[in-house]
Amino acid sequence: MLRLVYLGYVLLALTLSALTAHTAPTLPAEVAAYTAPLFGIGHRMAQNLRAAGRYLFDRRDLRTENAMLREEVAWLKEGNLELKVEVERLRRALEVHESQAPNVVAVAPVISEDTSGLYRRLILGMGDADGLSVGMPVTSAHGLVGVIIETTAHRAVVRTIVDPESRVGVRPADAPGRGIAYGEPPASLRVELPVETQIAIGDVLVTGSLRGLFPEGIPVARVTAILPRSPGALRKVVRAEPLVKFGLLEEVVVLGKL
Amino acid sequence: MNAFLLILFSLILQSLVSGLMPDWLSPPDFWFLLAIVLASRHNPYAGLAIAFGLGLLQDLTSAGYLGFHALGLVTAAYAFYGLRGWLHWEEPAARMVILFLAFIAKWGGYLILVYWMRYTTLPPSTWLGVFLPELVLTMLLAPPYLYLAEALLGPGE
Repeated sequence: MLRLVYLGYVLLALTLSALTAHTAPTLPAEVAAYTAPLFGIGHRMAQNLRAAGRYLFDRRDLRTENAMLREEVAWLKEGNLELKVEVERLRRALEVHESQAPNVVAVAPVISEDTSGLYRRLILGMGDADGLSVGMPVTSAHGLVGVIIETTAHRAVVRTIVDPESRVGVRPADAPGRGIAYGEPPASLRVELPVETQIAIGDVLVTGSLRGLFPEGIPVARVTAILPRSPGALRKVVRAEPLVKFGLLEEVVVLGKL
Repeated sequence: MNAFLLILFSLILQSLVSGLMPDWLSPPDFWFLLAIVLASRHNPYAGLAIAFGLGLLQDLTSAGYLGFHALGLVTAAYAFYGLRGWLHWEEPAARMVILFLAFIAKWGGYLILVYWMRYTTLPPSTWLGVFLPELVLTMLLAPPYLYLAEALLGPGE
């Protein structure tokens, strides 16, 4: 009897996945946006712990130095903190504006990430009401982050380039040859290029699809391995590591749709 | 009430540990441990329903296909009930064996759905980069998690 119940659940799961495949991630993203604050607690705690760990590791004489600096910079900090944050945001936006694309829509905070090991998605703390919409490329000063796949009034879900559903048109930064980068969690890309493409380990790949989702020339990943080619293969396959460290992202730059 | 607290604690713990992990390392699966703990305290029919519900919640929070994690967790719970007939859940060593095999079953559930949706299996990089670290970390963190769960829920059946 239990076996029948289990088989019922299997059928239910298969039916649900098939029925919602065309709406995914619309339906789940609605819930993901609302549950983000809950997961955001742990995410923010982790970010703070990592930052604290880095700080303590780097500065063993933290206490002494802190006492000396506290007095000196307290009044400066108070007056300038807000300004500094704003300048930093604008600097990043300008950097992206100059190096990647001229149509920055917003600088959005990353408030959470999905908890599944197989998906790689980020939740942003801005949404429809802030001008974000589905299909907008998301990037950072280090390189391409992904694309917005769902929005609510004040939240947006970003599918990163290492998500298994992600496909990004790429080309080597210094050589011709357009290909496709497929996301491979947890943190790599599988890139298929024309066999004639001249590429070596360490080369940088940039966005390069014609009329694609992303502007031309945004750095995407660095080649880490060139996979052996099977006889008769029509594509050259390489593995690449994204230039962006997704776990350390606090803010991202959202670009306008092409 | 305590079960609700355990669920809340597990979800926050999941996002905390996920955030602490470097990008290249897949986090442990507290959803799985939570499903097994709750399954161990309910009859099989309720346990399967709870596991399926938790999986659906995970699908919803991951903005992914509905049913993907649900099938994984319900398969793990089903394996758990099957294994509990052969091994004693109360004994620590047997408990780890049950968890290990239930974890494998969870990924069996994933494979069924991946094949259903894409007519393909998972690539080797997923097995090496996601399955293996997730398995090792989940097994390493299982004893303290089970201890905490027992402290919160009281001794099981």
